[in-house]
Amino acid sequence: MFGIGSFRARTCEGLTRRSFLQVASSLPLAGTLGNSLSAVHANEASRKGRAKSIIFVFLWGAPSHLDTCDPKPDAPAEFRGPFGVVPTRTPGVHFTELLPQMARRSDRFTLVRSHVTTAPGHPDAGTLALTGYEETKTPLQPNFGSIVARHRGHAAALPPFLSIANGIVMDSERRIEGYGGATLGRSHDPFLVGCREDGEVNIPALQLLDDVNPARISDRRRLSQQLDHVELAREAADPSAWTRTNGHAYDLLTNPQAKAAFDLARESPATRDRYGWTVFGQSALLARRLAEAEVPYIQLNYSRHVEAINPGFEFGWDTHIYNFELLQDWHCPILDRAYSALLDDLVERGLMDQTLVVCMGEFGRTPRISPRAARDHWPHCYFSLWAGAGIEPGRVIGESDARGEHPCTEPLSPLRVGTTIAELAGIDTENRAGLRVLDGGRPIEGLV
Amino acid sequence: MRLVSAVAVALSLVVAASIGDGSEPVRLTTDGRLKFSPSFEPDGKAIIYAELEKPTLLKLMRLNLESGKTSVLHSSASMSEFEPACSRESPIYAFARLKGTLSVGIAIRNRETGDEVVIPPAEGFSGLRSPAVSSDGKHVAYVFPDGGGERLMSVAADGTDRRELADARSFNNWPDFSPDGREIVFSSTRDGNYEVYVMPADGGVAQRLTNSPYQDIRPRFSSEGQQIAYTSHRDGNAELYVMDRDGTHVRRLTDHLERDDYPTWNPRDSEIVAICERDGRHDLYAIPVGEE
Repeated sequence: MFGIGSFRARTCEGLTRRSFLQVASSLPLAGTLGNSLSAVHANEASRKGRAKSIIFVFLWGAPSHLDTCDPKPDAPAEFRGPFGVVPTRTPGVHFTELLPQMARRSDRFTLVRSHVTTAPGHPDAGTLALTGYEETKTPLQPNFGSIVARHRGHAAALPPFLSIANGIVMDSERRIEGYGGATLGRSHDPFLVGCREDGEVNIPALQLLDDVNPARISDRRRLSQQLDHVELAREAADPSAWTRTNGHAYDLLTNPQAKAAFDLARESPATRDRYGWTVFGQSALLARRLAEAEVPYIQLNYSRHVEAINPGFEFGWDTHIYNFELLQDWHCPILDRAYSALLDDLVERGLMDQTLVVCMGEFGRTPRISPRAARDHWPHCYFSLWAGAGIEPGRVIGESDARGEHPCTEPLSPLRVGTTIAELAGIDTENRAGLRVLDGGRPIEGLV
Repeated sequence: MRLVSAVAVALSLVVAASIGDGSEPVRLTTDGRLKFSPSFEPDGKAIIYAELEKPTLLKLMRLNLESGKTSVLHSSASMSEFEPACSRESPIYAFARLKGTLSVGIAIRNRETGDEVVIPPAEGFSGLRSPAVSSDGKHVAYVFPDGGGERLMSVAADGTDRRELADARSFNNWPDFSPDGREIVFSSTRDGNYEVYVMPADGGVAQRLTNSPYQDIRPRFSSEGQQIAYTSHRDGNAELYVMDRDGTHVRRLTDHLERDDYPTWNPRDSEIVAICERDGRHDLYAIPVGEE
């Protein structure tokens, strides 16, 4: 199922009309669209590296490392928090009791516990997490996904960089600057896709005519009818009212294989169930379908907004209040289920070796519990999970100190994260220099 | 408005058989959305709970067990409302309400008159939580985060006579009044992790009732006050348990790979209603509670 969202209403949230048209204009034309989604270039293998697709699970708002994947059960009470710990399948490593399924799957990923960042606030730290550089760097640097998209080019019907959220990720009213192409051009901005808890996919950029009915489509038969109507509407329209790029957008929507990638109703009920009927759960399933279609880079956002609980905002990981309640009642059960399902699904479909799954926030949270019985921003130590793309699983890289305040091994910056992703995507030092991106970055040892 | 299967409702009203006789939980809602914190109205004919209506808004919902219909409790609410708690015998109920950015207060409302008293949060980021209302509707307990811990507080239903019941040297959460109003059961980390305790309703010495390396949370007195239901992670994920008032005769009510949480007693005591996750969906289920 997918709906066709409001293009005009989303100009401040999603792609602008201009940027979308640029994206669309760079898509392959109709002839190419008829080809397989997995069409390959002659030198594709070398360009793709080990990771044909990358799923970057962005825990926007920043989860507490102590309450999730780097607990400190022996720390004083004012640090360790109220949760017990459970053993993982990695010897000597524990998660909190909030993540039992992920703990049972630690043999499918590598845990990194020694990340640091330099930005203490969300917008800047978000940009840093997604680009490797602070927002104040001039010029603004591109999102890791834009780099991959630029390197791979548009080789299939689907855009090379999709971001799954109900708009560009934001902190309060401010969108994150590092969401897109920056120095590589707006044509490498992400293609935005929203997903509801019932799996209905919404593509805000694809409503181009007022008379195209954006009504929700409840099943595949109706989806087909809706898309037929779209094509008829296009054919009937005054040609002068259509630009070539408008047409490309509709080609994307009407390409059978492209639209199939967005149609979660093609999954078995059991598969949909295992991800959970939450926005993040069904979004994770959509990410897997896009990886299956070899979309080079998928940014899977846990929420559009960072805020834990603010009027008019989605519920994110920025838990300045209700940290322990929200993690226990809401975020951790949802993440535990969906992330575990994603890894299982990729393994069962034989996709894990060609798919890189990176899961992390933009920083950690204060090891010392705040006066509000919660945790605040902590850029000095946080974690990530790396799975697939040939990375040896079941390991731990880096270590934090006894209270989770600082790494006691080499600190790993966002630039190292981006460089590692690039290497695994086949973007080597020479490529990076040619693109003028990730300058000075080194991959994280043990992951490439 | 959503219609719950009449069969399901009818089944839910059947007096439950005892544990182990094969009785299965009965599904009361079917939309599968994220739900939290169910609480029975005094006559046992309706349940109030919180539901994620859309990604940005939690709403209080009311399930009428006789008609099977659900409806929004406060149709004009534009801010998130959650953690509803009904009195057992009076029209008073309380709930948490988002006031502004990272700011949550407690509203105390009279169902019959619509009169409302609000306990405001502290200045700045502050979130009051977990209200509980005494059977006679005269007292409300709630949680006030302060000094790195969670303080248990009590006020009269008109918002006056604010008192501390348990200090903030640890996390104290999920209070519930005994039916006679003399005691409060709650969870606390005072001995390391969340365990269930009971203490006099005006504060004082707390008696520990559970002892597990994993959390025991959300305790709820039965209507006669002789049993306590709670959620425990002791067997690997969130499951429902019942114990006698003194912490003995612990019985496990659910055994499922998915989550069972937020127990609340039907006033007739024959069953517990909880939020159960099944096939990735979150719905209200009635779970029979028999004799040991």
